[in-house]
Amino acid sequence: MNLFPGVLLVDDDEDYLFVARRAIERAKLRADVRVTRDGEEALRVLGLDPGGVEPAAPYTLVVVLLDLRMPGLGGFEVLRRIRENERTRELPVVMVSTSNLPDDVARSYALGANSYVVKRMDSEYPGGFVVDAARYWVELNEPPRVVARS
Amino acid sequence: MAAGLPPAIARWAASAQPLRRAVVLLLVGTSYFAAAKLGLLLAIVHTSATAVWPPTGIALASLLLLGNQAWPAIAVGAFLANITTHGSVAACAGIAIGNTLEALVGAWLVRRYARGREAFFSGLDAFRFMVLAGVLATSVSATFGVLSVTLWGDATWAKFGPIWWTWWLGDMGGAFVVAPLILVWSTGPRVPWSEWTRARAVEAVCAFAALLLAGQAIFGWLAPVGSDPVVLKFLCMPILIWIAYRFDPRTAATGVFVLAAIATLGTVRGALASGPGVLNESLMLIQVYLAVTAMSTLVLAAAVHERTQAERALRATSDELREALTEVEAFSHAVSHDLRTPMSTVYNYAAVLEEDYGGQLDPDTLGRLRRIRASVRSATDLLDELVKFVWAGNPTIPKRMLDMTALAREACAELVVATEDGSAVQFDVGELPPAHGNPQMLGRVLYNLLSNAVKFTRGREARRVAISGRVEGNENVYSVVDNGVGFDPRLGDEMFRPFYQANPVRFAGAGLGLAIAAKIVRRHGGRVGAESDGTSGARFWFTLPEGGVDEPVSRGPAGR
Repeated sequence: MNLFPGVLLVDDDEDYLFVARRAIERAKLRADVRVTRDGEEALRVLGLDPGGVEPAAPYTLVVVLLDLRMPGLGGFEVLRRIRENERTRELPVVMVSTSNLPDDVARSYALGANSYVVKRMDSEYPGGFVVDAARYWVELNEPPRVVARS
Repeated sequence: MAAGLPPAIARWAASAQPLRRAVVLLLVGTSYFAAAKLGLLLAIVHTSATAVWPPTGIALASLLLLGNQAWPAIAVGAFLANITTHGSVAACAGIAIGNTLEALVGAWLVRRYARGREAFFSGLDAFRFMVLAGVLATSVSATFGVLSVTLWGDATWAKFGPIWWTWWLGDMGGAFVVAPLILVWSTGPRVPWSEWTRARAVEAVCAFAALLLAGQAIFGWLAPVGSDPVVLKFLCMPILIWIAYRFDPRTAATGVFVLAAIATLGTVRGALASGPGVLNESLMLIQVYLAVTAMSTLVLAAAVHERTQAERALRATSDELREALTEVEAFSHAVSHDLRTPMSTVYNYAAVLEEDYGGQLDPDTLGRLRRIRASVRSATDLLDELVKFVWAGNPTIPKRMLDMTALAREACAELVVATEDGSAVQFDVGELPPAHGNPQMLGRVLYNLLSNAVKFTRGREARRVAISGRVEGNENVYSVVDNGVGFDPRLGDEMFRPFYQANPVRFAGAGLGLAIAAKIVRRHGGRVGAESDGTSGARFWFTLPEGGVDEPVSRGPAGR
């Protein structure tokens, strides 16, 4: 059983997920990275889907890296659902998006995002910003206890 | 008096089948005849001259609506009305010619100078109609008619003057009261029923009730005994102004007609006891009164209509523009997002390839691999700037009072982080006067001007960028001064145009930074400019109105 702190990547872009996971792996970040490819799946993993039950096997999440624009349930909606639920209200959520529009940033914070990261093109190594963002929450931040389904 | 020509009949006539046309002409002739007989009932000064002559209005409106070829209906109607009342064939023919010519001349003048049948939907044209058809053209009929009854009838030259005045005023009344009524109900834009709310209907009923009451108080049974009607006559004016201002030309023309009917009937009834001479004088005075009232009311109604239409058109255009701009913005965001994702993929995979196989590649190939990343990055930067350029045109951003000094400091701090050499530049931020605007947008202006200054000090010794501001008259002037390479003074405002690049090779960029700044400043009601001697740096400045321009409609909380 992986006892590293959990990081949930929510994104519909397969190429981004490949680069992000590879970067986290290469950076030897001690994290248990899970991936969901749309908003519905993310809610399922977090036990927030309609009629969903509280996860039985605890998987401690320290951060969700949530894409803003996804087909179906978008990032804003997922964030809203996370903040609505008593159990996940304090879960750190980092919005990750190609958009740097002031409106998107403002709305994310208004909905209770903890951070907003623009998907940039890193000159050091591909996916560097994912590692930078995740490292803070995994290594430095003292997380609230939030469990999700394994 | 005769009813106006309903629009359905006018259209029907215009479709011009001979039989139908004949029926319409017959109708016009009959109306003319009936109205003329009514008017001649009040002929006092001479059996053929009356101070109340509604046929002039019918003739004028008919020619304007049906075309000049309707003239025989008028000629025949006029001749028959006179010959069956009094006078020789020659005199009656002369009168009929005068009446017909009056209508033809009036219609021609109105078509030529007052937009024809549409005259009462524009203030200036309504006024021209009154003067041309009401005052000028009616003198034709008066002159022809009075000459005819004097030459071939029983009128004497001594009475030429009084008869002429009566004739002229009677025709004028018809042109002022009856013609507008027929014209506005037959043509022009219809007020849709949906605009007749319950409140408006109640208001219209109240206005007409007030008009009837005032009319009766002045001319009718309610008139106080022994009162001076001259003073009271003006009681009706505020009510008609009310109607003209709040409703459309149709309602106003109806109001004028209602008042004219009450006034004429009341005057006839009231003066009958005093003898025919007094009646004619009273009727002449009432015509003058009605002419003034009709002119004021109808010109006002037309002007109000014109303004309402202009406002409506303006609002529609501005709504359309706003919608189009919002669409362009949304579109540019969508395109930007959708393009950025595949561009990131290209960039990242090029980086992954370099990471995994870079060591096995010869320097040339490795260089080309890196070129992929550099190209994608500059394309993304251009995309960013384009989106910002569109965003800078957003007309609906919320504004508030801003601490420009703090905004400038933020921009400097951001610049130091964002650029590789920002920390090598010394920034001097002075006290800046506060301004009214959108924080993101004015922050972007400061950032772009500062970034421009930083770019052009590249390669210079002791790089300095100073930003200062002062109040000058009723505007704030903000200046960004650098000690960079400057620019050719002849360039002037050229640099603020989109995609202008001073030196693309030496100073890379999309060429939109200054254009975005200029666009935002103009949106805030200010101006931009730049000065340089071409060697020792440049000064870029912009102004903002001191109090700020009017607040546009906010698009909601998402706009911050």
